[in-house]
Formats: sequence, structure tokens, C-alpha cells
Amino acid sequence: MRKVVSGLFISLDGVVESPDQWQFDNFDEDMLAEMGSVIATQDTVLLGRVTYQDWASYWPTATDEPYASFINNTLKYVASMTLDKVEWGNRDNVKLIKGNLAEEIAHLKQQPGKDIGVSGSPTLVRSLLQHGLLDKLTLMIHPVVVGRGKRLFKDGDELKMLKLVDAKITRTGVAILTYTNQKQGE
Amino acid sequence: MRKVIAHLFMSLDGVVKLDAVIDTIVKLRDTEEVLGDFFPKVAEEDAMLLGRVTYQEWADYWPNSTVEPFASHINNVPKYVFSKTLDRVAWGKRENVTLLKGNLAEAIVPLKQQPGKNIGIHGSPTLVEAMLQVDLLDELRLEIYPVIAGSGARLFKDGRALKRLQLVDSKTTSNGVAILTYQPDKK
Repeated sequence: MRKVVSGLFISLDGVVESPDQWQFDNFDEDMLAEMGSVIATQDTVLLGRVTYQDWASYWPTATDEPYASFINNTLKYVASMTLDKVEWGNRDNVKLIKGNLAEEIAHLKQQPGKDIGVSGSPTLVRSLLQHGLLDKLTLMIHPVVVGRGKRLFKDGDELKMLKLVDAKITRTGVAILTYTNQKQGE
Repeated sequence: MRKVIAHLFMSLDGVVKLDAVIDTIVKLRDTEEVLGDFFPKVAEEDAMLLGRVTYQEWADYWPNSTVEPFASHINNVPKYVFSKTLDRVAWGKRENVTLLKGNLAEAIVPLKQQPGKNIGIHGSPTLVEAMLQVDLLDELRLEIYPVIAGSGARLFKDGRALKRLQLVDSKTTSNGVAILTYQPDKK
């Protein structure tokens, strides 16, 4: 069965907001290679509302490759309780999930295809993780303490054991750590 | 000048006060892979710096402990406790613990200027964070455990200045502990 996977840029102090403000020279060749291999395993993207709203006004006309082609050509689902419609430039490949997210994801996972990637969308990632709906979480831990900004994890999350299944270090010192739910292993 | 090296256990969500999962952490930590990385570093330290909270917890435990090799190390090295509120410090019947008060830099810099090996900070997350912020910390060695703790005191606080670091050493163990060692960027 296809998996729901997430990869996030995160600082050592757990900040995920505005990585462009603290990524500096860490988007290096190793990171680019990592991004390339990640998108090669996905054919569907899941977005939270905030990331969708930021990205829908940027990516449809962007030329930052290879991600621009990937995100613009891939089928996207936006999870939001408040939006009424979603669009992606003049493309017809974005859909709104308004109802029960767990059901929709279960349905998507049963369809044939490559992995479903949650891009950005830390609030959604945290929620999926808490509800056991995320199969794989890759944290790309940047060597910086940002000091302020939205964090991935919040106080009051449930205690959860994970399993470290992969670790890589980039040439500029980003630790790329991949975890799965412990019960699923891999 | 001597280096100050901090060692901390941290959950994936940044929690360093891990009482709720301590049994799990201890099980994951008590392995040749983790301890074999930790003890050689401790062997390069001949003084220890503690914050108030960790000092208060440990001063009741370690003087009578036989958990080796850490018991011998911590009981025998000179210890310095940084606290603005304590009036005296004690370590069992030993006389090798000193109270440091007042300004952090004024307390720590003279210690770093003394001849000797590295100065280790163990536990003491509030002190570690404060020292990182004022550029007194030379190395931060984090053992990141594969658990989301969900609640508990975190190492990094909100509302701080951005600090760039260099990852100088990294290791992952077969049971999923990531040991990442950083040095603050001196640029």
C-alpha cells in the first residue's frame, strides 16, 4: 500500500516556519539530491490550508526546478475545514478535502500509486502523526537555533515512540533523520 | 582556553525534562553504542558545571551512588553550581563543589581560563541554553531519542536570537538514537 510521507525543513530548536529565513547555505547539492529522490517516490501531494494559501500564489508561475514542475503537475489535495474552493493557477489538479481526513486518506491509500507526500504543512503533519496517519516523517534538521517562529511539535502532544529508519548528513551539516511509527516498523 | 561541553538527552520534540519516559530513555541509552560514545568524552573532562535544578536533584543521588563509571567521575571532579538563589552547596561529605553567583560570563570565563581539560555540563538545560545565548558554550552534544514526549521543559526557548552552529560530529545507533554534536559558529 502507498504511504503517507512528510519531509520538513526544521531547525535544531524545532522551528518549521519560513525556512528561507534560516536555511542559508544548507540548501546544498546533497539537499537537492535528497529532494530529487523524495519527489521521485511521490505522485500525490497533500497540503494544509496555510501552506496551500502560501504556495498557490507562488508555485504556479515559478521556475525553481525540479520542484516547480513536480508541484504544478502533481495531483494535490488540500485539507481544510474553512476553505470553500481551491485552485492552482489555471490547472485543474487540486482538490479540497473538507470532511473526515482519516477516511479520505484511507481511501487515497487504497488507490494504486506512488507515495502521498505532505509538503510543508506542519500543522497537518503534526495532526496526522498524532492520529497515526503518517507512515514516515523525515526531519531535515538544520544547524541553527532560530529562536522564534512556529514549531512543529507543541506542548500537549501525545507520547509516541518512533523508529529511526534512515539517517544522512549533508555536506553543510543538515542531519536528515527519517522515522516511522514504531508499530509499523519498516 | 578550556572548552565547555554540554551533554543532553532530548526527545524528537525538543523536550529535555523526560521524567515521563525515563525508563524508555534509560533502556535505549544503556548500550555500548551510546555509552561508548559518551564516556570517552567524559574522560576528557576534569570539571563539571551544573545548574541549580540539576544540582539539587543530583546532590541527593550521586554522592552515594555506585553507578559506574559516572559515579566516580562526578563525585571526584571539582563541581561548580551556577545559581542566583542558593546560599551554599554541598556534595555528600566532599568539599569539591563551589557555588558560582552573579553574572554568568564573570562566573564562567575565569574557569575557562584556568589550566585543565574540558569542563562538562551535564543535564542543566536552563544553564546550557543561557550559555549558548551568550556565546560561552563551546560544544553541544545532543542525544536525540526517537520519542515524541509531548510535554515537559524544552531546551530551546522562544524569543531568542538566531544562532548558527556547525555540526561537527554525528552518529546514529542501531536502536535509533541520533547523537549530534554542534559547535556554535564563531564567525
